Amino acid sequence: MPASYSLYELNEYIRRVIALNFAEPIWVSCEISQVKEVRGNVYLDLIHHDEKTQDITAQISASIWFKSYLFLKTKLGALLPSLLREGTHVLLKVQVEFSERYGMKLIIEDIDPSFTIGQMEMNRQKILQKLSDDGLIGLNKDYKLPNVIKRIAVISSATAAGFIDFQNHLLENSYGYTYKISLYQVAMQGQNTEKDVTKAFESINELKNNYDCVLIIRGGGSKLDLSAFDNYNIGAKISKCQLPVLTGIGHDIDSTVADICASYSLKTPTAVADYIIEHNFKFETTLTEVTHWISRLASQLIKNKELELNQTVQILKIIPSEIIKNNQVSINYINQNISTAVKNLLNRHKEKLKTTDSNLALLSPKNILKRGYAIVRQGANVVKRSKDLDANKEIHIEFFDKEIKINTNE
Amino acid sequence: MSKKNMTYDAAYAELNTILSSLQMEDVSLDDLSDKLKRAAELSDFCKTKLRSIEDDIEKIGVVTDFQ
Repeated sequence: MPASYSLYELNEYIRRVIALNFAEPIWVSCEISQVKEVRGNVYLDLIHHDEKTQDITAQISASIWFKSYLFLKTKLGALLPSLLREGTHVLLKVQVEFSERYGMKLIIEDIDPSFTIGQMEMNRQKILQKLSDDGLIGLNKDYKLPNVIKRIAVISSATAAGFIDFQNHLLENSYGYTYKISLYQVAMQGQNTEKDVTKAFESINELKNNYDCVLIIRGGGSKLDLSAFDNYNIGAKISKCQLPVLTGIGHDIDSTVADICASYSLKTPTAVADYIIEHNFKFETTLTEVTHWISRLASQLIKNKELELNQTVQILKIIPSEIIKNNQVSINYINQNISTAVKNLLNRHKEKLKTTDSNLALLSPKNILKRGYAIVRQGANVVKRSKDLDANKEIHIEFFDKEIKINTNE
Repeated sequence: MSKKNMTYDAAYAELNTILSSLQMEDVSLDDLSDKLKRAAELSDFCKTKLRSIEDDIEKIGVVTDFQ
């Protein structure tokens, strides 16, 4: 029989070897695959993925004892639950321990959050680069908000403080605007977020005619809580969404991939509510202004037309009486000219008559006799020559005043 | 032209014709009194017409009753 050891002896030997080689705690980077808290102690499964194949190439159990857990809670505060989550890459300060009874275990003494944050930032940059390479950034900005937002699809969790804040803020707006909110329930953190959110987007796209926009609402939380939104598939869904997407996922400084892909990125859920209310108010204001302008322009137009009409009336007042006056003047003028012409005509005729009269008078024989002439007649004949005179006949001599008889035979 | 159908323009034109024929002494004395009678008629017609247009304008009241 070859020399042999009991299992206990073997394990005791291993424990001693390990204790000798891992006298001090060491820093280990790994991914958390499982985590649960039992009576103040935290039990975790740590793994390592092969970068190329994604196969799990290493695995080990780890614990945070009550005392260390208290220390970490004080040190990291709200960040701690975000770090101790399935899928998170962490840098842990561990004491390697081997127990004869329970085997190998890492006892976690400290966590370096900057490592995880750095990892996430790197991850975020990688996703953004890929989305950019695939032409999936800025697409959603082609979808503009309608003038009035009424029907809103919200991707959130009904119980999340952020959603409740948003809903209250939106519905209790001072202008009395009403909204129809349709909630698409999703896990807002952890490993289900990607699957839930992409599914919600698929459902919303099918009903895109029923909504004016899509909101992703989430309450505050640590930077690490938001890491679910640094996701390629969520970013792609937002970019490809056929409605404008607004985000309010509660962060102060950095934008998540979701924020960058969305058309409108706001810091908090209440900021989203304010934005929507203001958007509608802006439209109402524009409407009021336009109405005001229309009525102003209309009254201006009427005033101008009235003025124009008054001017026309003024001209009308003057023109007809002037026309009549001018006509009266010209009629009077014609009448005067007629009477002048007639007077001239009659005068001319009178003159002519007078001349004729005087000519006639000049030719009358009595006027000639007056000048000393006399007419000699014998019987009915006028004796114009001496040889025509018959000495035996009675001669009648007509003077201008009297006719005498002369008997030549006597 | 009968008085009923006469227009102001026609009357005025005829009046002018009479005037120019008188000024040209293109009227025989026999016709003179007829021409003058016609001229007086035309002149009266034109004056009456003008007065009635004036009255109509006032009656229509475009001017005073508007506004």
